[in-house]
Amino acid sequence: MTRYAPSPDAACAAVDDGAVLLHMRTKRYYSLNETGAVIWRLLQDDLPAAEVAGRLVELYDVDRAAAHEAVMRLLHDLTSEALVSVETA
Amino acid sequence: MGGARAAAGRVSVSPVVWRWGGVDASEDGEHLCLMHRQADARVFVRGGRLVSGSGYENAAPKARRELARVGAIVRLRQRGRYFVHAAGAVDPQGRAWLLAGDSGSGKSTLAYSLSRSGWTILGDDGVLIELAGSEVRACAWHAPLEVSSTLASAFPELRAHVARARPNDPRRRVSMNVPLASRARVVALVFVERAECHAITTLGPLAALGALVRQSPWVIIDDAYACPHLDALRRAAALPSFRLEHTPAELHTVARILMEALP
Repeated sequence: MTRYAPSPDAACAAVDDGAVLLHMRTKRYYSLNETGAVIWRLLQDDLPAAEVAGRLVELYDVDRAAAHEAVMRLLHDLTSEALVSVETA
Repeated sequence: MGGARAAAGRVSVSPVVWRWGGVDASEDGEHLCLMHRQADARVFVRGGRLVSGSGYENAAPKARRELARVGAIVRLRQRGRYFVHAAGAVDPQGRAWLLAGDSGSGKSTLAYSLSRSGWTILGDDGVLIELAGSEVRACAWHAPLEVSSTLASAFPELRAHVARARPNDPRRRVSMNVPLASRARVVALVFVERAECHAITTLGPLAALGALVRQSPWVIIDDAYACPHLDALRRAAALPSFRLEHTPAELHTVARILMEALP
């Protein structure tokens, strides 16, 4: 199973309409919109991608396929910026 | 909430630039290195202390002062006071407003205009913010308020000071005495920029926080103070925030514009 773990080099500040992430090593900062911030929080709770998508289905009016696509797209972005690491068991 | 929003878990990226005046900062192992570009002089921040590095002893006093000021920004951060590249002005009700923006965005000019309307000034190119209970408080970072003498048509009193304009300064700035404040509760953030047309619009907390990080880049120094610094910016970003696009026509009305913007 593939798990995505938030980088220990990332600091997050959540606000009402999203979150800002700081990458303490690359010295870049990132804005996540509201949905992105929810996904980040669920990743911090150590949920696998499939469960994150499942939570989005519960939280929002979205079908599982669209939620999964949104999660995987964000994970791709976060991984390419070294904000999450990929662990394959 | 619709599916379209759920499907838009987007991330946007911005680099942090560690530069203030003539000083660049970089991390050197566990320490922070401050380098004055023109003087090629260095100061290190080690264990909360400033330690002179190469070129410092022979640097001109102005370069040493600039290095010391940036060093002070870093050290104050360790005491829960966070520098923000913003003007700070206190309205007649005793409430502080932060006017943040990039260099040349009009912070000093607007602060000077506000001072002419009876506001007091915490700083025109920087303020310190700190958390005090449920409040975000702004503290003074006093330096001479410098206004472009080319604005004499809007501010006629500047004509008497044109001769004092700094030589070789394309903006022909002069320092002006204005009424000062020492600290006050922050009630609003205003991100200012020059524009062709005037507009004031509300900013959400995410946009405000991103803009604040840009104007307080020391938040991303990788040390034990990063999280409290980020939390202070987050708390500030939760305050009412605006983007003010301004033209010369607003120089005499900015006080009214701001007071009308806050419910």
